[in-house]
Amino acid sequence: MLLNFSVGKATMAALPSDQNIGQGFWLTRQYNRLSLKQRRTLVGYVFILPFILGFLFWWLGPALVAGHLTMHKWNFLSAPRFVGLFNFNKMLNDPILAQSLRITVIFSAISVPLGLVFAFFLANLINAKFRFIAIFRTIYFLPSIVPAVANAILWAWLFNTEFGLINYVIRSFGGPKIGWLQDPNWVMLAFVILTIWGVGGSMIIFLAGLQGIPQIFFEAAEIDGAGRWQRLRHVTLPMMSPIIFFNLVIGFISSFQVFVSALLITDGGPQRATLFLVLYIWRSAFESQKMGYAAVLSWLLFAILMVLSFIVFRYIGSRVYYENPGE
Amino acid sequence: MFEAEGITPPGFQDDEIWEWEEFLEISRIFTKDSAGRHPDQAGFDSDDIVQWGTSWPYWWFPIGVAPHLNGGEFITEDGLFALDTPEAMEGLQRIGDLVHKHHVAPRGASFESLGMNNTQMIDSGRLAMAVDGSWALSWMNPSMMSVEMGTGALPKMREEPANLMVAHFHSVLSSSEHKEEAWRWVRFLATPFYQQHFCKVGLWIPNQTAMLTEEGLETWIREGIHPPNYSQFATDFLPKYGKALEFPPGYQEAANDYIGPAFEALGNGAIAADIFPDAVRSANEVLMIAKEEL
Repeated sequence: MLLNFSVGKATMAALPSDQNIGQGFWLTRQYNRLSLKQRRTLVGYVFILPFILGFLFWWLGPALVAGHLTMHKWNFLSAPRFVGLFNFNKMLNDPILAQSLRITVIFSAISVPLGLVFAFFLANLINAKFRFIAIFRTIYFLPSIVPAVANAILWAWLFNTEFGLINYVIRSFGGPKIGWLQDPNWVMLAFVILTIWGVGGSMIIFLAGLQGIPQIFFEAAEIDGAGRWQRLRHVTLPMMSPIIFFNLVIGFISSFQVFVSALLITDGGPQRATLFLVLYIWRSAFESQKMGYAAVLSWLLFAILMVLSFIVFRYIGSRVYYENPGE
Repeated sequence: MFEAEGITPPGFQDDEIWEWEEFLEISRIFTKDSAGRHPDQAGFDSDDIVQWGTSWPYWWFPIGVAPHLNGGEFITEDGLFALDTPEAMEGLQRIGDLVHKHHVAPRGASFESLGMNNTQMIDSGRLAMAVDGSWALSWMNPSMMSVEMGTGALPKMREEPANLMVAHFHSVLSSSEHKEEAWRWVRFLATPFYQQHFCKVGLWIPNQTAMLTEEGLETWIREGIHPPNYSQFATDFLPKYGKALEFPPGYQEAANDYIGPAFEALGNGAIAADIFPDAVRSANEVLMIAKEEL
């Protein structure tokens, strides 16, 4: 077994290996009859049980039910009714889905690269060593742990057309009054800004990566006459490529799952300009009571993310540099 | 604000209900830019308004009443949207014009569910009149507000005043295994005992005539919550001018996909006649499919 080896090794010290301990209990007696190898296997599975159960109950189970529902109409009240490929047909002819997909892709294409660059930039800033650096690290990380609802309320205030701080600043420089959350042409930018504000998570991962680069590489490059930009280009970026790749994949996946801010701040509006795919799935299921159609859309989202991940791994993953491959 | 300008606020009696033009004129008096100019004065800066006459939101309830004020309908008895009739579109356009033509209503508070709302605007003296559901009385009431406030009927665009009435329904599923218990529960929910609690705090208006008699009114009208003329709204105005709004099957989907976005487009300055014919056609298709599937 692949699993029991590493887990079993790490936990053996804590196991009741003495035959005399707890002999009175049936379970303990059964356990004591097992060979060492069987015990290690068993303990290994117990340790990964939370994941296995979570996967079965909260992922595989619902996914299979959703798979079953794709061929049905179900409004929660009456029993599901078999409709064959009706929901798939609807998916192919749904102009609102097309719009929802389009804005989700646009949002992803803008916010993911921008977010990566910004997080990388911030990570480099807070990688400096001086007094109180921990305070700056905390400040830049803080937005990413603000609860989603509080975050939504905060930005709804900031973006308010008449009273928001952002328009106040723009107007004090003589700029126009922007309908951030009312104008379909501006609302996407508002969501990108709001998302980039929360890059603290990937910033911390970048920071960890930056600190993992051995100093000797920079020193060697410097001796060879490399400037600041060349050190970044030829040392930092190659050494960071696995981290950048990781943040890219995670970024793409989460950008396709925008929901809370779109539901709370704009409810998909104005004029469907923030009707992201997950919000449309949610609406189809719980507002339009079309569980079958929502199931089809959920599988569509899964398929999109699978294909996207495959492309990213195939074409970008192959360019990632691993210092110690195979370890 | 009304006292300072020497204006008598509207009420619920026939002779206290404003005409649309009167409402517009008074909204202009209350609307000022940072230099104190009104929308009909030279040099008025519509991007720099600090005090608004009115706020008429673009979500379905406040905007859905506009067609009725103008002799049209939001949803017909057959359960279809009727926002594409000339009367309805003219009524809707008048609401859009409040922001974009007359500059007497703010854009920011139109359809944001978060951020600054009409209550805070009234409380801080930035807004004179807010159009909202009667349930708003449970937070926008004399005892909660730092300014003196009252209630009045919506201005009429044609001869007849109008208002929409909505209620929520309790139903027992025909497939229920506990029909008798469920029925007793529904009966309890309809008792004056249960309803009074919600009426007392301003959230509901009773739908039982027993609670609209002089004795009945005493069980739920509360000083500090209900302005002095409020009982007239329940006893006189609504029975005469209130129109019950019934939501057909498929409403939520049709509204989400087509009608809501059309209201938002109106809020963004689109012309009603350009958007509502298409939106209503698509929305009514959704409703008809939902009806067939029943």
